[in-house]
Amino acid sequence: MKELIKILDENTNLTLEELASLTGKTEEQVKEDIEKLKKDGLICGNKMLINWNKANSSDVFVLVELKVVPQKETGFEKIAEEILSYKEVKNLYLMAGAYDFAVFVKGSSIQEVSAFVSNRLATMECVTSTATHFILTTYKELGVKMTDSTSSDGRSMIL
Amino acid sequence: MIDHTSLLNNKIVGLKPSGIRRFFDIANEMDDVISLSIGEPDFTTPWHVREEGIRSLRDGKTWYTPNSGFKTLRGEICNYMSRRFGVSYNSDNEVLVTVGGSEAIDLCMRCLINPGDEVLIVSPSFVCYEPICLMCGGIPVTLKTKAENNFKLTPQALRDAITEKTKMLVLPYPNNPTGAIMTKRELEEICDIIKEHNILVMSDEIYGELTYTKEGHTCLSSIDGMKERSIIVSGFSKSYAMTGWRLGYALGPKKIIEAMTRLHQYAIMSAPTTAQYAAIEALKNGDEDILRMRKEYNQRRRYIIDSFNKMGLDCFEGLGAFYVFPCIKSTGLSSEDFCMRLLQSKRVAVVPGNAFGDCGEGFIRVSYSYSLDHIKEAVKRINEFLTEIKK
Repeated sequence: MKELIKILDENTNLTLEELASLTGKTEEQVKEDIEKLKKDGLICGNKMLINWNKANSSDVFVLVELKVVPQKETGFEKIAEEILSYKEVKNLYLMAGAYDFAVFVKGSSIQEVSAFVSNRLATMECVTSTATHFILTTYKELGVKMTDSTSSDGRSMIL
Repeated sequence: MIDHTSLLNNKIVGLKPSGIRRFFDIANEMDDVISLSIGEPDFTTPWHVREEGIRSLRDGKTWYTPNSGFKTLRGEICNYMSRRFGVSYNSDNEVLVTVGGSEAIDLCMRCLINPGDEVLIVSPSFVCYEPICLMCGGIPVTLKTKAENNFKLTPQALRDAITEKTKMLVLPYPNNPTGAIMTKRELEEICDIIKEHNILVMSDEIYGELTYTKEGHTCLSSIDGMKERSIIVSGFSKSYAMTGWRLGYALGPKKIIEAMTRLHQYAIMSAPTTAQYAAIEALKNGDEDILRMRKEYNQRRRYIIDSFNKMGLDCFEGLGAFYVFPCIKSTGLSSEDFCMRLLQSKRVAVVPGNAFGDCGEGFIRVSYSYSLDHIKEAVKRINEFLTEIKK
């Protein structure tokens, strides 16, 4: 199962037949395993990784550091739930260190993102401070390089 | 004008250049060729290993090392052999650090073969054994292996080939080009015969770590009574993805290693210093890297064997190295014709099996030392080619 998860983590475009070959299992077994992974919530999405550097889009991507006051009984969970419900929030992490939440926010312009941070995030009752950083270039995402560095096969030895 | 050819050593004049060069010269001239021909890992050397090499350079450690290699490295090689394969060697006089496994092979053969000695060489196999044997004046005797025996050396084939003149058996498992391995039990049967004679075995175990069975690789000298009869040659190239560092080693009986060290000292002085520093790190902290790469090779191996069998080319289950050796006899083409037509029609380069000995005829060597996407594209094109030639 671990092996299957690792393969799926790297490739979403493999057929059941190919997955069966790679893992040495039957297609039925792989199908069952995948169903189970979905049911258990280990597989929770299936998206293509887009290199936005190349999309000629004017979208703005920012990292917002949030400091909050954890709530009685619910701690950070309730706050996280509220933040993640905004469609502008792309990634959300609870952090150890200088601040509590790292919020990655995407919008179509600086104005839109600024408005979101100041009207939605900063105004939440539990939030004590925000610091917003603009992301200029994405070099690597989820383990995939987003740069154009040529990686030609430099090998030449045949035998 | 001096006739330089007439001045060359007679034996080198007699050595044939590798026939497949011409084929790959053509491949290199073509655009959009997708290759499954390369015989080295696609992984780069693990970063922590590279870093140690860099650190040694930064610290100005740019001198020769002792002839037989750094003592620390020899010690780590012995620790590794004991940890991974349960064999024990004395780091003072039973191990020599060489320029790749290739130098270890060369030294071993040159130190043991006298003119007229017969050298039994398993075939198909890596291309260097026979030429070196010939340069020493030895007589290469081919031990042909067959697909029906999963390209393993059978006790009968060995027994039939031994004569009074037999000096050495070259045992290259896991095998390049077939991907065949020998299990412990199968090795024991071979060793029983060896022990009846005064024969040494040069066991080329460079692909030892790339063995995809639960039992794993069996080092020849771990078999009872074999340590005194074996010279193990291996290196860092395949297991740690360190081909370009050129570092290998030989392990064997003291007298033989001493002789090899003498020759090495005159020919080479010492193996590359930077590579030796990096190799110490690889042996100390690299076991995880081996596992990671092996796991990935194994997935590709399963995928590629399955793919060939599904397209109707019989492919026995090679359990070692990073090659498969499918049979192309059903197409009616010779190995070279198959490869040339595949290259011209679909721009896929694979190696004709006969490049590794006559008994490789009817097969092709396919390397899975490539990313899965690359392998998928090549497999798709080979499949199209098969449909095309059936018409």
